[in-house]
Amino acid sequence: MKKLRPTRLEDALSFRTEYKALPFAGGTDLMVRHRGYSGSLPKIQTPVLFLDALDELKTLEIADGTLRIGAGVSMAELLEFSGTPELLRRAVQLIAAPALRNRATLGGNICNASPAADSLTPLYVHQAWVITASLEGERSLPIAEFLTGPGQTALKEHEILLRIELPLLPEKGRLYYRKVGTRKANALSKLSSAGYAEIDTGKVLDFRFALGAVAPTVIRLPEAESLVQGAMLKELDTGAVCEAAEKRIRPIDDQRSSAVYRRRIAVNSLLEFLEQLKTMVPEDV
Amino acid sequence: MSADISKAVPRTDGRAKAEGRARYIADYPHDDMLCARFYRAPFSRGIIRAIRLPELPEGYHAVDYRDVPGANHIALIKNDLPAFAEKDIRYRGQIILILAGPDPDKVDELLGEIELDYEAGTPAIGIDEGLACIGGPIHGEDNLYADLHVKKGDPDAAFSSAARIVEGEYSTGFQEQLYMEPQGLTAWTENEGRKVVIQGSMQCPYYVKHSVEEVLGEGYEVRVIETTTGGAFGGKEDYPEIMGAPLAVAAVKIGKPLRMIFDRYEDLSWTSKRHPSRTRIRSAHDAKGRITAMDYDIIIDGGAYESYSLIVLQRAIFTSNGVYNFPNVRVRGRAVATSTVPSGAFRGFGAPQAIYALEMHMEKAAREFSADPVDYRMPYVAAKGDPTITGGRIHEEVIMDRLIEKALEISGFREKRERYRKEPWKGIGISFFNHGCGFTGDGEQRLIKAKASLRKNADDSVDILIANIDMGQGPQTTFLKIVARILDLPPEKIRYDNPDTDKVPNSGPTVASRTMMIVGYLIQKAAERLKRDWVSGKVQEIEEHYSMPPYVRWNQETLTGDAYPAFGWAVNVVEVEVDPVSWETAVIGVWGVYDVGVAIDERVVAGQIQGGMSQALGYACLENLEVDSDGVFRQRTMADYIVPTSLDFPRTGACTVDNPYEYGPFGAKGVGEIVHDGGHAAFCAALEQATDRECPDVPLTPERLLEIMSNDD
Amino acid sequence: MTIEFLVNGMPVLVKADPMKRLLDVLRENLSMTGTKEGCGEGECGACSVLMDGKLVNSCLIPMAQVEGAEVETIEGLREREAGQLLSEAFAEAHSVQCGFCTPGMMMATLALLKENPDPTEDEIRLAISGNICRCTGYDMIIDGVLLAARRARERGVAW
Repeated sequence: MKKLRPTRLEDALSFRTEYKALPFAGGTDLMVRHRGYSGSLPKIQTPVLFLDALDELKTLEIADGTLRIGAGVSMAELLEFSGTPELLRRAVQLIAAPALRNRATLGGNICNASPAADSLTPLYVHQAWVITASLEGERSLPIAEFLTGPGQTALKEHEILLRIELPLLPEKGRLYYRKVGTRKANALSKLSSAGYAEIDTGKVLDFRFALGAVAPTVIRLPEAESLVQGAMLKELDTGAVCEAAEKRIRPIDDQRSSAVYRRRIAVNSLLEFLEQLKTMVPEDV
Repeated sequence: MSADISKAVPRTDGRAKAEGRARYIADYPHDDMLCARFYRAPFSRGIIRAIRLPELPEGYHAVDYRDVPGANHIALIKNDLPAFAEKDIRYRGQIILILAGPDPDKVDELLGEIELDYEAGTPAIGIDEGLACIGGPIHGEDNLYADLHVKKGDPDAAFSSAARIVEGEYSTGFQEQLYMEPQGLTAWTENEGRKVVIQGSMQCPYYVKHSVEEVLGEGYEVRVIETTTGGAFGGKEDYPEIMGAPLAVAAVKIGKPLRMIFDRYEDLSWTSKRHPSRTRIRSAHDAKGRITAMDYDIIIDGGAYESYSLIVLQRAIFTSNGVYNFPNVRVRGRAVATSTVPSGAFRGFGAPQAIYALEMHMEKAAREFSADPVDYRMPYVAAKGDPTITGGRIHEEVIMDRLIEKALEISGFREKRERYRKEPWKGIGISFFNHGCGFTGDGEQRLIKAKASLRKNADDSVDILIANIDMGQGPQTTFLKIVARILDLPPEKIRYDNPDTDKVPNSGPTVASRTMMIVGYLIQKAAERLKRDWVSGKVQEIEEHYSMPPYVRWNQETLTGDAYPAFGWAVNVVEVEVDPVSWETAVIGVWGVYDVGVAIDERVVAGQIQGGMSQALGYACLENLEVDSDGVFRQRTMADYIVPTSLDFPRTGACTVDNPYEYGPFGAKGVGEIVHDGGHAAFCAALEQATDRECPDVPLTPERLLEIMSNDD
Repeated sequence: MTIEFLVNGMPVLVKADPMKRLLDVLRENLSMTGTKEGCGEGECGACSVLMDGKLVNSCLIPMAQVEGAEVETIEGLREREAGQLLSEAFAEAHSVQCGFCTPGMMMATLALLKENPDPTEDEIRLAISGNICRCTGYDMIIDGVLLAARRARERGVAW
């Protein structure tokens, strides 16, 4: 089985195209998913393209109000970078554990496409873009179009993920993040939620809320959000907002948690954010 | 003198382990060893009709029941578990054969090519299906491995004249020991195949020896060597026999050294777990709410073969009244057969299950009568001389009052309990419990007959020769202290190597909180004798044999008398805060106060308290282990079986109060299990205050708490 | 495939499948068994080593990605003054019970103290949050790290 660990992007793209090779960045998901019995080689049946030596995937900069993150940037590097926005920082801090964060990449977290992936809810709230590269050039997709189902993405067989672009949110916005994990560290998410609201003199100018692990992909809540957008906080009918949100929530039972639990806590977290907004003192708005 | 011995010294084995120089079984060179793997039943219940092996290349071997020279069983109490399955399969994962060969990847590939034809039966999953004999009885006629009864006083009379009766049902789940070092053994033959050597991770070298001797039969000599064991907690009490006996058969057949080291997934999937339990308690009360009788009915899920179920059940029923002396008691205990991995030993061995139900019921009764949880319990706490439920006596001074006082003081229990009545979502809970040290009844005398020796070499160094192992609980530090103190020697002149059955007498297994109290006492006596008879430059060997303390009376037929020669006693307090958005419960304070006689090393004991509490809190709210309809565990990776990390729980406030025991070394009693027996009940008691709901099951996960909170809606 | 890298400062040349785990190369090819396998899925930290100065789980690193890297293991740490100081502190504080998690804890502690030689208890808890211990409940491991950190500062020992 062929393996390549290129230092130049064009070599990576050629190899990917020629062999439909499996892109391998930090390996923290792939080495587990394909593991054999202790001591044996991982059971990967395709050629492998190692991405960790590509400088082109290590971009980490802010330009024109957008944070550009190379697909090969590790979670630890994201946390070390002072420009990483607060919402994403809160999520990445809670991913796995220190040694895993040193290897796991944002690009890998996205392409692994678990509905429970912790980095995704902030990316959905920021309405991030995903940039892929192939020998034919680059392609941009909104993150919600890139992730199409559990473990499924719109990445084509000759493409690799190049970069994530995060439009920064206004500083004065209110943020919300909650991860409910199986324990306090080194935990998979049972559900996660991220929210953003921009309030001006008691009126909601912008409201975004994303939920993870309660549907085949991370979801936004368009119906619920539209009830909040433009509303006066004082008059907000939180019950109606939650009811609208419930229509989008389709969790499952698995070995980590139950559908009933995920559904209820998802709604509880939305309610918690709304209550936080409603109880803000006037000076804050 | 006792305070002196308690003063902490550095761990004798600490530096070698920290520096990665200590060798565990997987660390030994193994170039000449074949890789051995089990082929396990791919179905949950039924009869094997045919097995078709792939063509085995040169150097690859298959070993099954037909290769067993002696008896095809694992020598565990009733010997009902076959070493290799013949036709009858009772649980998914049951061992059918061994494949061995030089290339582990090839062995793995060959395992995947084995084909099996079978006739499927209907598995019985869980206590109710076991009791109903779904699919026909697995064991006997009624699926009961044991049905035990204990009675004290006249419970019927008390119930019929009761002013009020309080009823409750409490349950505990499976729990995995999750020792950090997976199970592993190596096996080879010597003396032209007439001697078999087993080496590896284990708690009981002589148990392994015995099982291997039985499976090989006459004409074989067996030597068993324990290697540094990376944690066990009971999980390496039965399993090294279950692994070792078939491995020994394979070593004899193949004539080459074999190595079997479990992958974590195999370990989590198929090794023995803690027995789940379900207990119904009814208590009779007079008009003032005082308990006049208790009816206690516990059922434990033994899995597909009996293994240790009888003795786990015995300990459960003997612990069913905990620290209390109730006037009239009826206890019934049943161990039921089901189609899952046979349940085995795990720290506490029936006591955590029994204590949970008892203490949750005491909380319920206190609530029913609007009483403070501490004040409600106090009148029943036993004292020296009180009768036990098996008709024996408490022979020791009981210092529960001092333990309770200390626990209340360091935790601030009373003030917080009062304050949290009005503060939502916060609670503090307490549990009282005890643990019988050593084997039940006359087991030490009748079955174990422990022998321990000291050998003084010509250079006046001393070897401690016992079969007990250090699995982290510290005897390689504490026993050195005992001998060093009595003989007035520096620790460097004393050796306590990992036991080798060719070199040490059978001092019994490393289980049942017996190592320090029983074996340590023999070593103390041997050291005292050696000191008296010491001749410098001469080789001397002093052997001590166990004798039952003169006050112990026990009838194994009727299960009456003194079930244990001595008890550890404890109070635990846990403080919690519930998050009503996610129903996650944060533990914000933990305290444990213990009477373990005397601490031979206060840091060893405190380390056991903290570690035991961590496991108890995990059992209480994190370690969810379910079986599916095939009897297979749903949580089989370390990502899914959740044990505490460093961020999950705060420090445990650990402390002991001295209460020297005459027949323990320097006054010491057992420690290893009591430290795990009661934290879960204190947690749930705290949660009950925080939520104002009954929380009668562990693990009390956020999912379960949501269910409980939703029940009124 | 031939992979060239540094182990504890020594150049090493290993012939191995590019997907072979770094953990297996250390333990099998190089007979360095101080690094342990507890789970093989990156969940327990018993296989922790430093790679290019960062704490990683060696059970998840394929050899292809080790080319040119600097790996430090417990065998290297223990030869240094810092390692001796740390193991002595661990033994004294009873941070060690069964010992199987301990080499990994030592490496996680090294990673922490290199960056932060005077950590708080919370910072220590975070630094070892990927290393599972089933024996100690972590309290005495934290004690050992605090003791080692203090002694290293007092004696001027570099991590």
